Amino acid sequence: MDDMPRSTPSPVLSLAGITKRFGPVTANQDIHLDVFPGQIHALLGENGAGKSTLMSILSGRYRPDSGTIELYGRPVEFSSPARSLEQGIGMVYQRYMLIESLSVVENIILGTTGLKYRLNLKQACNTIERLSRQFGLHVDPWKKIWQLSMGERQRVEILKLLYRKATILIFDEPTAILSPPEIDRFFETLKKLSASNHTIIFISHKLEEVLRIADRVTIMRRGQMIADLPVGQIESKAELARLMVGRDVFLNIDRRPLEYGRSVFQVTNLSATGTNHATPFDDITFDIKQGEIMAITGVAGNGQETLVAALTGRIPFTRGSITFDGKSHTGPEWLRADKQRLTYIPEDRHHAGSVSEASLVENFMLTRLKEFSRGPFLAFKKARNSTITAMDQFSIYAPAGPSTLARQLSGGNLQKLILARELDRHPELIIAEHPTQGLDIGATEDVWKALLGQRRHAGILLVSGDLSEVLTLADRIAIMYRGNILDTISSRNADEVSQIGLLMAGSRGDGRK
Amino acid sequence: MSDVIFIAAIALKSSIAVLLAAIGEIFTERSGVLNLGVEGMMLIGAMTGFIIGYTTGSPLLAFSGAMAAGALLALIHAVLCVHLQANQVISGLAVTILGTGLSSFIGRPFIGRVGIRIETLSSDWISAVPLLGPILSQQTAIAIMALVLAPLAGYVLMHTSFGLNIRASGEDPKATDAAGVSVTAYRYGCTVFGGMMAGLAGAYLSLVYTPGWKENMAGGQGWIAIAMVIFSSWKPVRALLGALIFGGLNALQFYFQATGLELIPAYILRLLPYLMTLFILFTATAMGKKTAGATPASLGKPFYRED
Amino acid sequence: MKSVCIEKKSHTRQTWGSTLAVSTLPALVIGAVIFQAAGVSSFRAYAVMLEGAFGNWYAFSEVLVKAIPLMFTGLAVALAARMALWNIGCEGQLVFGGIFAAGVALFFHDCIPDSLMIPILCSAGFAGGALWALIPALMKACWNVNEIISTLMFNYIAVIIMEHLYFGPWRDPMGRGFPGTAMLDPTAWLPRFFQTRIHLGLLIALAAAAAVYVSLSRLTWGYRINVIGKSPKAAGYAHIKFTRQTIVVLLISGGLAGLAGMSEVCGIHLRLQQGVAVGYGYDGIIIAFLARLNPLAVPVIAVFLGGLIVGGDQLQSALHLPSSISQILEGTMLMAIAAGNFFAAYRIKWLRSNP
Repeated sequence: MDDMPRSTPSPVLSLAGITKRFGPVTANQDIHLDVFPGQIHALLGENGAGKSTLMSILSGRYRPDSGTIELYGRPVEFSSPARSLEQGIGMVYQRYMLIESLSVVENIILGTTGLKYRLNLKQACNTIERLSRQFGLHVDPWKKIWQLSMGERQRVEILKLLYRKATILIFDEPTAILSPPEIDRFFETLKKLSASNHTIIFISHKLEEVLRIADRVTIMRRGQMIADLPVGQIESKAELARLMVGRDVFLNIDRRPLEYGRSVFQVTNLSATGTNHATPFDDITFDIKQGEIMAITGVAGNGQETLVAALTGRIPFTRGSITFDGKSHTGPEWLRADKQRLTYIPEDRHHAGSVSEASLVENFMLTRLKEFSRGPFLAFKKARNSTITAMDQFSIYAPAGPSTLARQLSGGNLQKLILARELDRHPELIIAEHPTQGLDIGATEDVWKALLGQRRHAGILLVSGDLSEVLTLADRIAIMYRGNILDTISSRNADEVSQIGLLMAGSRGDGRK
Repeated sequence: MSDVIFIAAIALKSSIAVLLAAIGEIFTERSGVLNLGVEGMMLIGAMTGFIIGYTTGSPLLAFSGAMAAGALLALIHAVLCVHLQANQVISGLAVTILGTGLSSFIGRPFIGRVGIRIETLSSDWISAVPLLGPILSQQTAIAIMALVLAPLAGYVLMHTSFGLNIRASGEDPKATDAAGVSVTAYRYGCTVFGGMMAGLAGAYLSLVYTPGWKENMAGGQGWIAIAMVIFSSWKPVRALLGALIFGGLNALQFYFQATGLELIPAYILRLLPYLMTLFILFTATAMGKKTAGATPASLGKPFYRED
Repeated sequence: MKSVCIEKKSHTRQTWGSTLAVSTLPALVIGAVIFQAAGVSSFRAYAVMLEGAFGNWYAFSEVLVKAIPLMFTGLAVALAARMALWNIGCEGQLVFGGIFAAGVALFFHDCIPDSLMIPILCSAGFAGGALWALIPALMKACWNVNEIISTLMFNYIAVIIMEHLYFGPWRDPMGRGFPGTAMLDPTAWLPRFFQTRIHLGLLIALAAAAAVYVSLSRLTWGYRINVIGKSPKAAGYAHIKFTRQTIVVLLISGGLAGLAGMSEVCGIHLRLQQGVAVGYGYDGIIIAFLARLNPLAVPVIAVFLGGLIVGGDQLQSALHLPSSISQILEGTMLMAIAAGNFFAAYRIKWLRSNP
């Protein structure tokens, strides 16, 4: 892999001053980016850094609020994905845009045929087969999409773009759902494409892949561009990790260490297979004591999602046991167990954690029906009073008081409401999943304070990819990698903390994996 | 033997209206739009065809007018469903009610009148066709056209780029739109086509089958056409089969009534089309969505591109 | 260069009152056009309709009579729709409610004490309707089979079975070929009021509306239903069981429609006969939609629709205009509502493109 950019001096694609806002959130702020022909250019950053938005602008799906795009030196504007494809820029999304019940050929030629009478599928097949051979993208053109594996589907998506003669291909997290051998094949293809003067841009949060395949990397964080440099100039994964996460100033949070109480939650040798394409996890063991905050962190997609689903009883686990509330449970038992003393703050606060079209009072009752009912009847007054008290306690601002609809709240206020609801149940264990994702500094601070305040009564399991959050709140940090807990470190040990970046990338300090 | 031919001829004759409407609805649903207004469109077509035929004496104008009337009603449904993203069930029901009401209202003065005659095909060379000859010669040109239309529609749907775009629009409008195909245009076109076919089917009833005009004369055949679409797994040639079965059951009922025999109780015969449709619906859904009998994935869901 | 962008509004709050008003207007306009075309003054025509429906006590009583089954089916559809389920099968469930009620009245009236007859008939009607909704409910809950089509098919099957019954095994032996069963024993007749045809069914329907309202707004069960309808993901998060609730709701919905059938058979026709299945099931969908799924608004809308039907009949006798005008008005109103949803939910925004 070259150290020097293999490019001619002028960039094939040039973005200048790109800004995009979605309501109060600034997804991209004044981005400048140059992409050189024939290069494999990686866009690196955590979830929410703004990479997907930027690429969606490039591929024509969104229009920027301000800024310019130049293609081969000429300013261009893309009103739709079809338009940008006409100019030779094609994107392969994380969720494939393939029509399941149609065949590979039909998917590839869709939209390219005009209104011909006879569909000449055979001819299209010949072209497809030629492209397949040239770039190592083997797939049976007559098979239906639903019959294909993830790797094969990705190949169809690439063939779609090549069939339309795209010269710049953008990939959004291309290896997220591929198995390691499929990843290898994918990288082979990228090399072949790059060698024949196709330009590749791919979005990733996986440090090792970027180091392995990219010629150049741009790092984004919180909507801004942090660094842009040839990969050859990077010394180590740890350095990349540091650039990605940054040395954030920790907020003024008081985290006096507390004395731990008894163990409230024990997980022993837990394993489960993922649903859909979520990564499974294997042989997880940990326990949480009252007064302790334990964090599970790692790069997204290493099994955290499945683990939370199993811990909250939404999917069964296949091996191991969970001990809670004095009782030990196997997989099927845990699904049905009484989890009144366990609360779960979900990642999706708008659609799972709350009911958008319901009032705050109604939302306050969502997980507490037993408490807010008298026999079969709802105890509205009680719920309303509790809501008002909670709104006061947590400084939740709502334009119409407790009758406000959930969707009228800002993200921060909504999360505070969910917290208020869940913490008011006096749980023994709190599982908080990405609790401050998408929130501003003020709301984040409020959420952190609320969680820290619970340590007097409960143990807390924090699942988050936000390192600053993890380091601020947690006493112990477990890093997950490919479904296992690679290591558990103490947040107070500076040496151990410095290893986090490496651990997230899959290697222990001494180079072991 | 002549009994069999008699039954077969009636069966074929009874199947045409349902077949035409079903073919139209197949296209509509394949593009992703649910049209529950077929009954209303058929009635409007029946009334329009009859009135135009009665006043002008021209079968061509009559059938064309019926198709136009059906298409107009379908256009309203299309605007509501595709552009205004209205609830397709409600809109379809509204069309049925409106169509029923309008046709009753406007057609009132024409009840009981005698309309134009549509000639059957009784020519020598058709009668000479082995086996089917005597059956076909009792049919009209429209019927033959419908029989030819079924495989033709199947071909268009599966082997032309036109058909590919229609199918794609109904399966995954997001991906189809991203590929540069106008989902809106195809949904509009297919809905209007469905209305045209329903109108034509109605005109067949009032000009050939009954013939004559009476309120609510479609007698639910519009709803049967909708059931037929599911029975046929959205494939026009299978709709032909389904329509023939429906026609055959009709003819059997008629035959039993006429001769006084009752080998199978009449009500069981009437139940069969619906039971068969239920069975097909169940197997198509429960056996996994990817089999050949799959519902178009985006049927009934409005599509809008988020900007 | 300007372009138009259609943007979803951040909130949509529509009451049933405004819905009714907004949709009536286009209908009145279309009606006026048709009246003009038929050579009649629209003022006069609408006046005749209003007079015919609400002008005197007897007419109004007939409006209420028509409204009774509409209230039941409107409630049935509204309840299911609260959980995002479409019960298109009210017509069939109504029929089966009528079949069960008639069956009990015809064949068991000897074994049932007179005082218990009416309650048992109600139960039979409810049970018949619920039973008829059972299979579509199971298919939806366990295999996610589209309930629109399955319930639609069951409508036809129900009507065919009913016709077979009153033309065949249950036919009135002294009826001389009249399509219907023998008249039901008088103990099975729902009592009528004020020397009109208004029968006990009205009170039962109003009670049912109140019951549905209380259930949906005050019971924990109702709360669960609302959550499933508003946010399936949140329902999953809150461990609300979709399968169980689907079956329960569809059974109750079917039962309500069954009560409509029972009330028609035991309150109006006094036998199982042709004329029981005239589309009240489908009208229920319109009513539920117009009432914005509010159970308390359903009786009001039902009376409105009943007025439309009776008024239309009056047009026929007074002005010799086809009564189908009420269908035209109904259809137009429904379209206006369907379209109106768009204007309530979306806002048209003018965009300036980037310089």
